[in-house]
Amino acid sequence: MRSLVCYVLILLSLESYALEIEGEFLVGQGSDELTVIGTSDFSRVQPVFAGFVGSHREVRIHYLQMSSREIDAAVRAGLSSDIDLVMSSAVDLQVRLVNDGYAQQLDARFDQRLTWRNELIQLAVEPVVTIFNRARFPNLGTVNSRRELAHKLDGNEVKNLQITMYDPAISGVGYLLSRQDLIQDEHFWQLLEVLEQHDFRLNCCSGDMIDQVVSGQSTLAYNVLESYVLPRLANAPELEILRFDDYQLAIPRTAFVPKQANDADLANALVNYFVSEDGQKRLVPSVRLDVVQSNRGGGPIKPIRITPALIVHLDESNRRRFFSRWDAVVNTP
Amino acid sequence: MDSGWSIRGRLFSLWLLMLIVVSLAVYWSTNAVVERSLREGQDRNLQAVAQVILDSAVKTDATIDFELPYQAFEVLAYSAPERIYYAVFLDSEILSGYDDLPLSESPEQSSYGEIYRGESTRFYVAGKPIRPGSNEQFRVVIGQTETSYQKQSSTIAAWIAFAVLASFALLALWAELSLRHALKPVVAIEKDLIARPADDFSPIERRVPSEVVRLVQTLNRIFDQHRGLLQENRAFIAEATHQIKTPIAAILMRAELLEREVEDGSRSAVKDLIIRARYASKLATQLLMRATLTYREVLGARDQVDIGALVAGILRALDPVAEIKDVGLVGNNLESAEFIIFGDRIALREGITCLIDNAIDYAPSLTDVEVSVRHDGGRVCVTVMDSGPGIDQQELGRAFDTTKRSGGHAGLGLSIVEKVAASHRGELMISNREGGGTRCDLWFATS
Repeated sequence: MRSLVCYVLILLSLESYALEIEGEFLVGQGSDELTVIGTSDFSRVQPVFAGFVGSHREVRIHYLQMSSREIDAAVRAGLSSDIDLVMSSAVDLQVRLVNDGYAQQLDARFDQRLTWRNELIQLAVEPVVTIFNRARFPNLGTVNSRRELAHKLDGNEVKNLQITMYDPAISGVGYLLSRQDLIQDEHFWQLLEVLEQHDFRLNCCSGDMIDQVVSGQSTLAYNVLESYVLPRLANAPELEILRFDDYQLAIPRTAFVPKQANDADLANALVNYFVSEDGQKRLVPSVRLDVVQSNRGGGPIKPIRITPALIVHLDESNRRRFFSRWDAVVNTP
Repeated sequence: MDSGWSIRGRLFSLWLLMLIVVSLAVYWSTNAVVERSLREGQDRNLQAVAQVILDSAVKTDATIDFELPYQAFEVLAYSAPERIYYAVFLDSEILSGYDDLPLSESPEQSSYGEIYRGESTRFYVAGKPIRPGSNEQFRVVIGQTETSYQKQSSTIAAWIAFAVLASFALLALWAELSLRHALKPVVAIEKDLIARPADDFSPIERRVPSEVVRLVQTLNRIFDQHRGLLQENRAFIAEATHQIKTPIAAILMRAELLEREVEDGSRSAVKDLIIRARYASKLATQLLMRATLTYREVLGARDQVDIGALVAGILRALDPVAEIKDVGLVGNNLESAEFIIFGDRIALREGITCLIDNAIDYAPSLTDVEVSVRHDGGRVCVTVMDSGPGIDQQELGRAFDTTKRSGGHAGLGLSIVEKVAASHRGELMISNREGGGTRCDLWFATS
């Protein structure tokens, strides 16, 4: 999937920073241009943008798809005032940008659970699940929790399964999910130790991991984004989702209006539309904000809280500390 | 008497002033106290986080290993939606975090406030030597903005100030009610006094609170004095009438008898005696009249008086006097509903009588004295005109002087008229007529 994305280097009206853009899209015919940078695949947000320009005929949305690290670097380097909204699924980076004062207050007052300081607003959630190939490991459907999974994979019963998960050293999302797993459950290291006894591979992206499970290359993929899995189910009968009972993580997709945005009113209007019933209806059901309350099987969904505590994950010394432990567990031969 | 201010108004402004001052003071002091206590709580939270990091520090070969605890930061983040900053130092070398945090001015001071990135921020710094006795310090700085704490304290202060304001307003209302209640007996006395007729000098009998007993006693004493004075005055007038008029009448009678008996040589002297006795009689009458008018003025008896009808009655009464002098009395324009004024009937009758009587005295035989009434600009005017000698320019101003007399006539007449005019908010104007004679205009206000 990522291989399909063509890397484009476009020098926007920035003083010194060149944005590394993965895709550039226009929605609408209006004369007022609202520029949004975001990590989401355009196909995910396009219906919402289309709904917005449908009710705001004078607007056209200019969407620049970028990686979360690019976004972070670009904001810190000083964004052009053309950019009116910053959307990202890297909630830790987003929180740190807001903590460091790069965002402005939103006009509307939102529910405390949806926002931090009324500057960073949650637009959608991305639940995280574990998937496996039913043909390769039929018994796995009965597993209810991470402890049970560890127990099941730990014995002599099964050996040398192909298991994959995000590489926290490469993927920001993978790192964040591992840190949150640790916060939820100290036994995460033990689970990793069990996984590591098998044929354990680290991966960059959800898409690749799903491909591997569908093809049978991998038996199990721990922590993949559910919204990428769901569309594949129809064409992959052996692909099965495992929703644990202990807890299910979810990553909030968040947005803020940068301080220097020159069209903050329009950006606010887009945010209001995004969280409105109409806007949410245009998202795929599994990422809507109300998915947290919905009964979708498995244990409680625990979206990562939008809190400034997330900035400690990004701290270099904390990263070092994590990886020294990680390397001790995972990379020992 | 014009009242420039009211007790209630003054009390209200004093009260309002105090209310404003007290509310501001309460707001200011509450804000300071609450802000301080919130700040202490915030400092304790910051201290806890700094201490946890400090305690996690472990000396390794190369450097120091420590952990920034997610949960501790989370607790801090839960307390308020504020920005959080941190920095970890080994001596002056930064190991992690924000490298531009402001440091405390003195090493002993662990909590301090600074403006950081444009926002008021609290900081806490904690440190310990990396090993016992070492000079190298491991230090942790935790910062948190305090906007919402400040907002919270000013909100609390505003509520408390509002509560104070409200209770003071309630107190003010209560004070107003109490004041009204307390002043009730005074108001009752005031009503009594207003309703009392002018010649009623009986003491106030109402039961009054101890605070106003002295006031009422004083009033009663003044009433008593006035009643005594008036009674004395009345007695004096009655006495004087009797004591003065009787001997003069006797002298006059004797003089008239004497005139017929004396020889022609002495007759002119007796005639002079008679004229002087008559003058004395008239002067006595007028003096008593003046005293009576003063007494009536004190009484203040008033009712509706038709000046036209009054003048007509006076003309009828004076007709015989005029006839003796061969003077014609002519009344013009005496009937109109507009001639009604509010005044003392007896005083008015005496005043107008004096004026006409005076004119008859001055009028030469076989001339007319013309009397007319008119209404002009809310006033009623009685005009008396004679064809006598008129008054000298120099004497116009002295006409009312009670000590002067002119042409052998008693001088008190015009001063009585003047007095009646003054007590009816009117005036007397005297002028000389063209072609000879005097014109007197006596004005009265209608109400």
